[in-house]
Amino acid sequence: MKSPRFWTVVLLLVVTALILHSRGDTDRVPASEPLSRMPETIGQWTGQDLPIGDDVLAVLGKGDFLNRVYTSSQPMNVSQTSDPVDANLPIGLFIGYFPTQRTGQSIHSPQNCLPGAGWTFDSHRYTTITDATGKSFRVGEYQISNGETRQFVIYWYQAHGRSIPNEYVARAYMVADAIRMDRTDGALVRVITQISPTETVADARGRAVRFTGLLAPMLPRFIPN
Amino acid sequence: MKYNVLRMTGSAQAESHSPELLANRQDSGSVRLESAGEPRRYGWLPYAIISALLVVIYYRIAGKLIYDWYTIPDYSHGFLVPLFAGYLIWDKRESLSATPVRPTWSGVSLIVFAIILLILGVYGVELFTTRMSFIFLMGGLIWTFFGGKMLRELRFPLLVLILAIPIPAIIFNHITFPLQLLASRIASDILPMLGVPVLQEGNVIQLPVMKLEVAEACSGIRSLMSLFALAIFYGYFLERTTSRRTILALASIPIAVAANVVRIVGTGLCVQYWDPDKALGFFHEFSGWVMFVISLCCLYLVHRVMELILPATGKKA
Repeated sequence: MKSPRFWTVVLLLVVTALILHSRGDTDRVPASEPLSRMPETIGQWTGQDLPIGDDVLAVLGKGDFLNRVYTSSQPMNVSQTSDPVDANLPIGLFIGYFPTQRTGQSIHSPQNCLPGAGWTFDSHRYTTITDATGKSFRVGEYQISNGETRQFVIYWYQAHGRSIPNEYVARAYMVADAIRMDRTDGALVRVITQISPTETVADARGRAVRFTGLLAPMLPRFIPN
Repeated sequence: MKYNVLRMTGSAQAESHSPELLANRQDSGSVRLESAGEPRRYGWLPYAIISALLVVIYYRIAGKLIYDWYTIPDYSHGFLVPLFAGYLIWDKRESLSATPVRPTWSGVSLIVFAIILLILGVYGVELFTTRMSFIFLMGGLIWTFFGGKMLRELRFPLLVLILAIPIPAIIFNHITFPLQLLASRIASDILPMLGVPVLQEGNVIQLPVMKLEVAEACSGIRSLMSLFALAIFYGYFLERTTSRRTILALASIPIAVAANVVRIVGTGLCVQYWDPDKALGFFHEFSGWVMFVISLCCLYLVHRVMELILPATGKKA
């Protein structure tokens, strides 16, 4: 019992225990509105909720989810080349908000789910988009296809006022924010629109980006900064 | 050198602590015999103090881990892992008691590293790091109190404990998900040959009468981790060289894919030729222990084939 080595180790362990117990095991979860209160009308688009199956909810875990299709009431054509036939193609919006990720669940990546449903990623890149208020944010842009059907996808992870397209970076920020602020809340936002055979990819992208630009300033109400 | 002759009570330790501390006990037991001349009255006390501290630090973490073993099907083998590690130590008891005990300050560095990992893990809510810290901490304690040689003797049982720690989903999915897609693809190539036309999109397989979603479209091959752990146990008991054990462990990956193919094909056949409702029940049942039995049979077959192709030469201890 006189060994300095033994007492050093005991001291280290006691200090560790004190450090660990000085902090509770619950997160600070800032108040936020439920996603169901997301405006029905965004710009020229009007939304309609799509139900999420129980089995899907079980895979998603504990959180608040919004799955909506927004359709445009007025025809729109951003392209100079094609006729405005498919101008009011719908835009799908999915948001999964997790108030806490402490229990080990993490936000599901579309990188897994989309191929799981038969989609292949044709191209992807990270880019910066400017929203309606002029604030810029980082997103991932993806073109996916399934047979003849093509879609344009914009998605990113939103947490504490930060937008991150990469799931690993998002995870690293979650760990850092958990240490700094004791918060592990975060969300995945996915905007998806069909690329019709008669339009260019730029048209579809323009539609998705415009919608995203209008949507982004509304997010802090539901996904606290 | 005093604590070398101490005995451990082991009464206050949490479940997951036992394998390593068991080693301490055995080792110190043998050392005690050597120095039995001097009686030590409170020899067990330092062990009790350290065990109690470990319990105070890890009880929440261990609780959550055991809960995960209980609830996550991929990790139900977690209960077996500490037992296996304990067995490994018991199996080595002779070489352990022959290992000289040389406490060293160097071990403290590993303890400090483990503690930093633990605190960052708990504050950063990163369960994997938190749990890994326990293995480092045990390594550090063994190193500090019994010396580097003892740590080297005990490294395999310590490393085996990693099998009980769930890999972060973000990484696990990247391994298992492509395998899941592969299984779906192979199954939908086989089904038409058996008279069941299918349309496959990723993990969703459209049969003539119903849609078979290889349910957890996002979760890959569930049983891979259990099978991998089991292949390691199996290899340990039935093979004698590291290379052959490694082959068996790696064989668990194609086996997991094959078992999944069997599951999907079996369900497809049931839907086509029997009763769709019953097929679904079968599908879910199949994802459980039936799958596991099939996988085990495959593992056995792989082992037999391995014996045929590469017969074990000269039994090496």
